[in-house]
Order: sequence, then structure tokens, then C-alpha cells
Amino acid sequence: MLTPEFKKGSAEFLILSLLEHEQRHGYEIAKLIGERSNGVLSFNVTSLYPLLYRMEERGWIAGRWVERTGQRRRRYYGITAAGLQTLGRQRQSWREFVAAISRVTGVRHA
Amino acid sequence: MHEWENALRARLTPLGLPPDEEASLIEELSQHLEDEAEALRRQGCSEAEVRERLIAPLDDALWLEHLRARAAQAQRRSRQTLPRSMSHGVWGDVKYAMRALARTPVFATIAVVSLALGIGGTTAVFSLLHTVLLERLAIPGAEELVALRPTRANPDARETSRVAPAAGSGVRLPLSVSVFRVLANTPAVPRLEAFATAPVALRIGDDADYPYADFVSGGYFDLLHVRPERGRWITASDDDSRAPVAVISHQYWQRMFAGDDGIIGRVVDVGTTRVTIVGVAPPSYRGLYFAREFTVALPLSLASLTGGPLGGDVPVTAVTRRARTVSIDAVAARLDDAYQQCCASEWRLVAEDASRGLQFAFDPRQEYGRLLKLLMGGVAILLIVACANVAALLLARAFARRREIAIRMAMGASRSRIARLLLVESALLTIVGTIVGLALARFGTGLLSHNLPGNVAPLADLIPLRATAGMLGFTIAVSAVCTILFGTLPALRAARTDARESLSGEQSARPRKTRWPSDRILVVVQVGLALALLSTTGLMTATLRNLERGASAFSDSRLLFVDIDTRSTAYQKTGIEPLREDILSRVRSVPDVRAVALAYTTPVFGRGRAGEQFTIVGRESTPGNLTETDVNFVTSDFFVATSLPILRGRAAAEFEADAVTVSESFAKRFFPGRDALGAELVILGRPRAVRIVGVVADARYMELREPARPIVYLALTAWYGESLGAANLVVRTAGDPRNAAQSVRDAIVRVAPRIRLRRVETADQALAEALPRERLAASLALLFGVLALGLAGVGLYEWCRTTSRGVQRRSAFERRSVQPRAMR
Repeated sequence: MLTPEFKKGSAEFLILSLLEHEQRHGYEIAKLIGERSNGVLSFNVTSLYPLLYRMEERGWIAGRWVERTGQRRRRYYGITAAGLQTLGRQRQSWREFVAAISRVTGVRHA
Repeated sequence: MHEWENALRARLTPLGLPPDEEASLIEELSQHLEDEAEALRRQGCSEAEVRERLIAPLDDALWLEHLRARAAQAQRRSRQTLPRSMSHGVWGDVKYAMRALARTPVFATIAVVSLALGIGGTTAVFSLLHTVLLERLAIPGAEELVALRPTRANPDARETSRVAPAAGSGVRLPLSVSVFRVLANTPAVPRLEAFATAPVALRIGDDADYPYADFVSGGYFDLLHVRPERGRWITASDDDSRAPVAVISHQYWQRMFAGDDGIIGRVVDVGTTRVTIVGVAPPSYRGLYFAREFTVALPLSLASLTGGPLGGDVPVTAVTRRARTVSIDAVAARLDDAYQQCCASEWRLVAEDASRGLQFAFDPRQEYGRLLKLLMGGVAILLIVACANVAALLLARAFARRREIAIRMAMGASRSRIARLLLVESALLTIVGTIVGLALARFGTGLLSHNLPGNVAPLADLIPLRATAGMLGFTIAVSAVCTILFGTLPALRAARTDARESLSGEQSARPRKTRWPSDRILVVVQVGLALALLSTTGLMTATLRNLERGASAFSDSRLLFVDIDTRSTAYQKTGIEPLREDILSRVRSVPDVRAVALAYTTPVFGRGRAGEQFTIVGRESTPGNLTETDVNFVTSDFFVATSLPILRGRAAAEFEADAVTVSESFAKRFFPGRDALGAELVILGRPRAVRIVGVVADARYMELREPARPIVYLALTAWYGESLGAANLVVRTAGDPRNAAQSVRDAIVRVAPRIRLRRVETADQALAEALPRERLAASLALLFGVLALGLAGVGLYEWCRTTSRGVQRRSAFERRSVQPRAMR
């Protein structure tokens, strides 16, 4: 099981990745993270939204209310230019980190 | 869903987040929880389990800590921003107002134009009113100046023959140069000066000009305390020694001498006398008459230069100064005492306040004062329409801006502050409107000064708007009243906005109002006023048309009038009489001319009025009980040329000294129920009685707005012949009289090359000139009426647009927030 600290550190990276090509609302983000990690990573209201709001305050993502026919209005989050830069930097350091780990441990990336 | 909302609200509200932030959080999170609940239910969880799994984490300590930090941060933010914006005070408000107005340029433009028209119109008319009715002459201590003029002791016997004293009638002028000299030298009489105004022929090199000259007594300019711009004034020694010197006005110097630097010492001809210019008056000096331009002043002892039948003993106006503690009546009483002692007559001296200028020939104050007051009323209505317009727009706008206002209130702005903000917006609109309005007023009065009716044309340089303290004070007062008029209601309305209701888009159980009722009233008021103004315009135009129709005694407009003058020309000594037959026959032979006549004066075009006293033979009459009538001296073709129909009898022939024709109203007034034909009159100063041989239809001469006056037509040659210096030629043409004008001119000049043709006008032109007031009134009223209606129309359109936009925006909002609730 992942520790909260580890989760928090990587969560921003995960959220930015999910928003890279598409705008999503909070529940969708939580659901996708849960599904794609096969339940290893899971977020609830109290853990997800403080993160989203903090990222919004930093200017990485922007939320806005969107109304679609036949649906209630929802707050959708999209990535900003600053968010894209951050995502690029995080990807780079993540790659370097993984490469270093695998060189040390001999574990090959699948 | 309500369950989640309630659970969230219970945890969030105690934290004190800003209301809109709290509402937004609850909406977003409750949706998330509802989605999660749905997923859990699909996985087969019971409701209790779902609640357990979703609500328990809401009490997570970290999460609550995060929310608390957020609330504290929001409070810090509002503490920082609000006091700062408060301390910015009015300047902050002004900047905010400018931004708010810039966001709605159409509204701002309409409001500014409305106010500019209202304020500009009011300012322009007030400035005219001030100039015409209130302004003092530009003479130091003008309020002390008193003019003295004679009036008949018996007020019933006014209007005697002063225009054309018949030769040998023995009329003695009540206050002439000689009478003045005696009076001024009487002990106990305060310092008295005098002036006479009469036309002179001025020859400057090859140019001839015929200005009115002021003949002034030696101490006249000294009494006025005005300093000459160049050279010197006319002095007592000039007057005593009959020195041929003149002082000209600044404007005349510029116009006729092109501002020549060597003007002092230049010699001009006045009639046949060579006169040296010794001084130039300052630009502000306009003489003592109100609606007449001062051009040239000569010593009073040279009054014989006018070339009139009286020699140098012309009528004068006496002038004196009074101490401010002495009333005008007291001055008059003192001078009248002296007058009665030295020159006892049936006349009395009456004093007149000269501080605002004297009347010359006609009274523009009476003529235009009432019109200007009416116009003032008109522009006041225009101003109210403009204010109502802007008020309605502001109300509609405030309605559409409820959300913005509510947010400001939610952020801690007080009601008074919201009201202040909107008032600043109104004031900003007024200030811009006033500036544009002043420019409009300046432009409008400038335009007007170039298109003044002839009889007030000398006022042209006074008409354009001038920046005086009084004027600016008036404009500022008007603007302030405007702001209060249109700004207060919307500001108070907006300040009463219910923040919660406007923000949430929820309406309470109260019946819904789509807009405030007061702006509907405003729209009704402005449209009503604009229509009232326009219908007044219609009335004024109708009056003008009626007067034109009534004034015209002529069945058609194929008439040409020419004003012929021999005075101050080479023909001065003999007058028109020797030229008469030649001129008539030459003009008669011009192609297209049907009939020609010569008359002392003519209807509408005519230059004045002559009167005579008479008695009716066979009726009781005493010398003090004379009756007066207007008279005209005409050649026999006069009634043919003017096509005035002869109702009974015949027209008196050219040389018939004992036959006269009278007008219908003369016959009705003096022979009611009887036949005037054959009756005999004795005209004062004429040895023989005359018989009435014909009655002719009425014609209006100068009094187009009144009933026609009784008039007696006398044969020109027999009655006036020798002394006739000036007359009117009446020419009836077959076609358009404008085409014949030049040939008629040429025909006259061929007979008498040096003769002076003062005016050549068609009947239509003369009519247009005779009713300048009505014409001006009708066109200005039309202008204001159309402006008011235009304003109301544009205002109404923009009001509808703003309001419907507000309603649209709201219904969109309602779709969002109300629909889902209904679906649930």
C-alpha cells in the first residue's frame, strides 16, 4: 500500500497527465485514477479537492462551470500553459528517477 | 443529493468561507459525492453503507484544516482589498465608474449625448435670455445712467405726426437740441448731456456708406467714463466751436478702414462737410442703444449734417447720472420741474433706466423676451426629457447589474457605498455631457449669431456663448440638478438590491417583478413631454402660417418693393418729386412689369408709419379733442399695383388735393353703420376739408400680429410732393418678381445715377423679414421638439435593450439552477 506522502507527491503529476488532452471534472479524475491504477491509487472528496484547489491556485489548472444539455452544470478542470510546463518537467525528472532506480536495482521497466 | 449538501453545509458554514465560495464548493462536492454514491449502489452497497463510506471522510482532520486555512486566507484578502478600495475614496470610484462606462459604450454615448443636448440647449437659451433681458451696457457705473425722453402729458393723445411733420404744420419738437441747450443751462438742473441719432452719408475715399451717427453734446463721453481706444473723444470745445471732428467705433475702424494705424487725422466726407477722425472707441463701447451698433459720433452742434427738414434742431435724448441713493423717479421729477419752467409745453419729461440700453425704433426685449422665455420653457422640458431618459437607462442598467452589485455587497461594500459608486457614475456622465453641451451651445449660438433677423443683427457679437462667471455658475447648477434628478433614484434602487436573492438567482415567494415600475413611469413621462413639446411646435408653425396668410393683403406674390432714398445724396435738395415721373415711366416700360406706384410707405415692406390729426366735418369737436389716424401718401396706381380691392367708390386721383380714399376699418371705426363716402374731414394744418371718395380693403403695414389700423390714403403729389426725400416703389410683375429686380434697379439708376436704393425685395422676402420672431420661434421650437422626441426614442430603444438583456441573462441563470432541481 502506498503511503499518503508518496501519494501526495505523485498525485499532482497524475492529475496533470490526465488533464493534458482533455478537460475533466473532479469525479472523473478520481474515477480514472482508481481505474487505471487498478485500485492501487484512490482519492476521495477530502483528498482530491484540496489538491485540485491548490493546483488551481498555483495556476497549473483552471476550473470553470460548464453546462451541457441534459446534464447538471459541473466544474471542469483544464490544464494551463504553466501546468503543461510543470507536467513536462515532472515527466523528465520521473524518467530520470525511474532510470536511476532500474540501473541500481536491475529491475527492468515493463 | 440534499443529504450531501446538508452534510457539507454543516461542516463548511462554521468555517466562515465567503458565501459565493461556499456555495460553489457545496455544489461541486455534493455532485462528486452523488456520483460516488451511485457507483457504490451499483456495486451493491446498501444506503447505510454508502452514507457511512462517504460521510465519514468529511470529518478528516487534514481536510478540515485545509478548509480553515482557505477561509482565513479569504478573510485576509477581503480585509486587505476592502479598506484599500475605501481609502481610494472618490478617485477609486471615478476609476471604477470609467471602467464600468467603457464596458457599455452604447449606453454611455446615449447618456452623454442626451445630457449634452439638454444642458447645451438650456445653457444656450439662458445665455440668450441673459444677453437680451439682463445684461448691462459695458459702461462703468451703467446702473447710474438715466435717459430722459418727452412724453405727452395727456396720454390719450399719443403718436402724433413725428415721422413726417407736415410742412408748415407748426409742430414744435418737445426735446430738441435747442430745448436741451436751454434746459442744460438752467440752474438746479444736474449735469445733463444729450445725443441725437440720425442717418448720415459718409464718403470714405470712393466708398459711400450710410451709417447712423450719434450727434453728442460736449460732455457726453466724459459722462460715460469710457476711455477711447485711440485718440480722444469729442469734447465741449468741439461742440461749442462746431468743430468738424468724428469718433468712430472699433468695429467700424476695422471694417471700413481695415484697422489703419494712421486712422487718427484721416478725413472723411459727411454729406458735403469734410470731417477729421480724432478718436476710436474701445470694442466694448456700443453706444446707449441696445439693439443698434454704434458706428460714428459727431458733435451735437453739427446735427444739421443729417440734412433733414429740421435743420440742426433735431430731437435728442438727454442723459444724466444719478447717485445710487436717488431714485429714477426723483431724478425725473427734478428735471421735469425745470423743464416745465423753462420750456412749458403739453409734454412731460420721463426718465428711463438706461443701464441695459435704450430702445431704438423697436423693442427687441419685448419682441424676443417672451419668445426666449417660451424657449427657456422648451429647453427646460428638453432637459427633463434628457434626465428622465438617462434615469430610465440607469435604472435598467442597475437592474441588469444586480449580480455585480450583489457581489460587491457580498465582499463587504455597504449600501451607502454602492449608492455613492453609482452617483459618481452619474456625475461622470454629467461632467462629460456638460463639456460636450457647452461646445454644442457655443457652436449653436455662433451659428445663430450669423443668422439673426435683420432687426437684431447688431446684437450678433453679443449672442455667442461667453464664459462669464454667471454663465458657468448657471451651467454648474444645471448639471448638479441633472445629476440629482437622474442619478439619485437609480442609486438608491441599486443600494436596495437584495444580495442573497440576486446572487442565488432565487426569487422569494413574492410575486416576481421583471423590472422596477419607476422606470416605466419615467419612460411615459419623457415620451409625453417630448410629444407636448412637438405639438407646441406644431402650434407655433401654424401661427406663423396664419400670420403670413393674414398679413399678406396680396392675392399673389408677384410684387417687388424698392426703397428709394434721396437724402444725403446729390438729390437731397429737390427730393424725389422731380424724378418721380421719369422713374415711374422707366420702370413701367421694363418688360414683365404690369403696374408701378410710389408710396410714402408700403404694407409689410414699409419703413414706418405717418399719422395725422383730423376732425370730421359736422361733428362736435374742440381743438383738444382731435382724432388721430395713420396716413399714407400714394400715387394713383397704388391700389392697382398692390391689388388692394376698392370696395366702394373710386381711388382718389393723383393731383386731387380735396379727395381721399380710406380703408375699410377707418370707415367702420369712424362711420359705424353709416356710409363714409361723401363725408368730409379736416386734417390738422391743412386749410381745406377733404372728401372721402372711396373705401379700400384693409392692409397691414407694420403690425402683422394685430388687427389692421384705420388709414387714410392721400394723393402723394398733392399732399407731400415737395418734401418727399424717400419713398417706396411698388412694382407688380407678370412673372417671378426676382427676375425683374435687376431691370427695375437699372431703370431707376438710369434716371438718377446717384440715387440710393436701400432695399429691393419681393413680397415674399419682405414677409419673411417682417415675421422674424415667429420664424425663429417656429424653427427653434421644431429643433427642440425633434431633439426631445429623438432623445425619447433612442432612450426607449436602449432601455428596452438593456432591460431585455437583463431578463435574458436572468432566465439563462434560472435554467441552470432551477431546472436540475425540478428534475430531481
